[in-house]
Amino acid sequence: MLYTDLIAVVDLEEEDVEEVDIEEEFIEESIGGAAANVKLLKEYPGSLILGTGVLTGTLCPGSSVGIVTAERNGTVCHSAFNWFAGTELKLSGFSFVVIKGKASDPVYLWLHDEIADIEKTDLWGKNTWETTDILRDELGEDRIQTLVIGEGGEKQSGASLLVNNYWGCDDRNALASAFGERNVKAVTMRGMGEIEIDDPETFTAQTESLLGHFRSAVKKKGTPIEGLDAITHRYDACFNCPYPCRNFVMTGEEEGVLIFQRHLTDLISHGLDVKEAVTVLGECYRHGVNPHYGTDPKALVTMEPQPVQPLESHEAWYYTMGICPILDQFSVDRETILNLINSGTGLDLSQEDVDAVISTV
Amino acid sequence: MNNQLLKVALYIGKGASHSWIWFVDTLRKAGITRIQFITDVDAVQADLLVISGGDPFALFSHITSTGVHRIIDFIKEGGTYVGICAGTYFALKFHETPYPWLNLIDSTIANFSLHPPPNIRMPHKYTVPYREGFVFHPVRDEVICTYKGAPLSAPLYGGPGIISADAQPLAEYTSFAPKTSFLCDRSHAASVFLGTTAVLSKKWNRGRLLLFGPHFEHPYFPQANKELISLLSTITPRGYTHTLPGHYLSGTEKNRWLKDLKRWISNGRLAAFGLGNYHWKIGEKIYDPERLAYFFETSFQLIKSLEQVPTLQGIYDLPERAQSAARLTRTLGPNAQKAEMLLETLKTITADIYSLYFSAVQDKKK
Repeated sequence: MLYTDLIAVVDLEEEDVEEVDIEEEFIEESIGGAAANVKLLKEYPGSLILGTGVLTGTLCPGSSVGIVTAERNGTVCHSAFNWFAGTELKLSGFSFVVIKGKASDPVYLWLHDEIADIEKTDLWGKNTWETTDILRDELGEDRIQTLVIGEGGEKQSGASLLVNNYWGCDDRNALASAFGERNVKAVTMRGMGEIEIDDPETFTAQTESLLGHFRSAVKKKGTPIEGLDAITHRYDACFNCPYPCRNFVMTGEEEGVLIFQRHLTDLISHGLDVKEAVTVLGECYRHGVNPHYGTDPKALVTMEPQPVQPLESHEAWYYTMGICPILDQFSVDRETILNLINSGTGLDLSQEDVDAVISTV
Repeated sequence: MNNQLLKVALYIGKGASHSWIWFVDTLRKAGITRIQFITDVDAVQADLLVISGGDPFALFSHITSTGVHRIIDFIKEGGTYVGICAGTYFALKFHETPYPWLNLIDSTIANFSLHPPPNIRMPHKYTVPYREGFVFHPVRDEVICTYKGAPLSAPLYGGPGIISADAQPLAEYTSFAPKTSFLCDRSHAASVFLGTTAVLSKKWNRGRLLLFGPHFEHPYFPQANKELISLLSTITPRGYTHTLPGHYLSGTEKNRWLKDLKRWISNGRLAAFGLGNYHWKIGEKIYDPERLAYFFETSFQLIKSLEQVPTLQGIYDLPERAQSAARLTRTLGPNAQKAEMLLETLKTITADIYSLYFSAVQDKKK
């Protein structure tokens, strides 16, 4: 059914985790990702939800996306997390995680092989980079993916930014603060679960054809920002993505920053040159704050709540599928994706069914 | 013969590598579940004693001459000794002044030399010093034997090519396969190995020895597995009782206990797969992280298969031992002593999880 089997319902107050089987009706009614998160949010009001798209972690090109969902200022907000975190979340055995209540002391969640552990931690106060390093060291595996908050999230700043390992997510609505409110410093994920595919042969053939399309359509790499290529050390892509859109720029002997276009563009629009912007971006990521709101990371850790920024029109679809919206520029054929979902899940969804589900996001 | 009544003592102590897991799985698929996992050879109460792959030097250091005499007594009294790879070297007498191992079959080892041919790959797997010369390994992976007049594939991971008039040859190395890896020049490998004995049998006193160079128990070689089981079915069960360790667990208590065990095996498994490029010399063998991960992986899959089982015989301290092993794995660096400690711990944990599995299987049969 294109998912690993479980939803983890984490009750931080009771320090308890309930494992709920994912039923076929749940997928049929909400497909996945942002739409499924909305459905779970209705079932568990006031929760923080992590979810994976229906295609996240599969052979489908660009299927790296996981989604965080929570209510902010009365509006349901979503943020995508890419890199390898969406995939690792699904492979941890938990395709969705519902986080209820507030922990009495700071904790992190450790999701692995169908086990969700709530671990007390003294990492509160550490920056995001230190936190990821310490967690990976503690848990003994460098490939562990983290969603982590810095000072911004801890102080529930209106400019807080959720960080995936070391790099900022596209968190436009300070969902990092939803972690901070609950005393959740981080979510760590690693697993070797298996994603069940209803008709693997058809599914594989369809993904191959899709990959062929992207191979001929994607003729570039990196982020189109003037002066950035000249200081780029390498270009990186998220899990199974045909477009290496992320420039990695060295800022010191052994340190660098992985660029997210929107964040760097924001800093440049504040008047910084590209080199300065990269350095400040690294500081923003360390502090877990969003450069959209200014160039002084320390000032951004205590900021009033900001107006909600809604998803762009095409994003709801991508956030439900689990595909990175950056591929939109290469024209993703939605009919092909629908066929992929049907061969993968064994469902018989129509484009109208999908549209109806997307309208709930 | 009723295989299911056979009782097997399987050595998993010092010197044993991970290939005993393959042997257990071959037995398991054949319905042979009365397996006693032993870390010494003091009180073997079984029809077969199996010593599989690993390091015969480390084995001897652990069981000493006392253990050697116990094994000899076991065979004298009618037991069957099954040696595979290291377990085969341990039983052969192949040097004028041999180490004090079993030395029960006079033989020559074709892959013993004072001057082995030049090595072309995997130097750490090529030679093991023995007295004034070396046991060397010209090939690894799949080789072709002739067994019962027909070709049979099985993998070789350091097992000997034997020349002996003192035992009945059952299989002979006849050719290499596309997947054979050559550690020395192919023509040298052919002149050393082809035509030598791969599997032999010898009746000795009231008992018997069955010795294998290649791993007939390897999971990717089902036909070889079948022939191995067929050979074992010629052994007459002698009526040994078999009790499983542990305490009866069911319902919520079982689920909670098993989940705790799964938690720590998972933690260890993930940390072991993340160990990267470390290598450790333990005894005369080089171990890599993959070997350690194999124990966690096997244990994890067994636990998964037990999640739907209503009852099993839990071994109370197993989750705590798994927790210690996981924590040790997380902090394991290049220190070979720590790696050896972990290896020995993992062997006993994996064996206990097999016992859990067999307790569930037996309960199903009731």
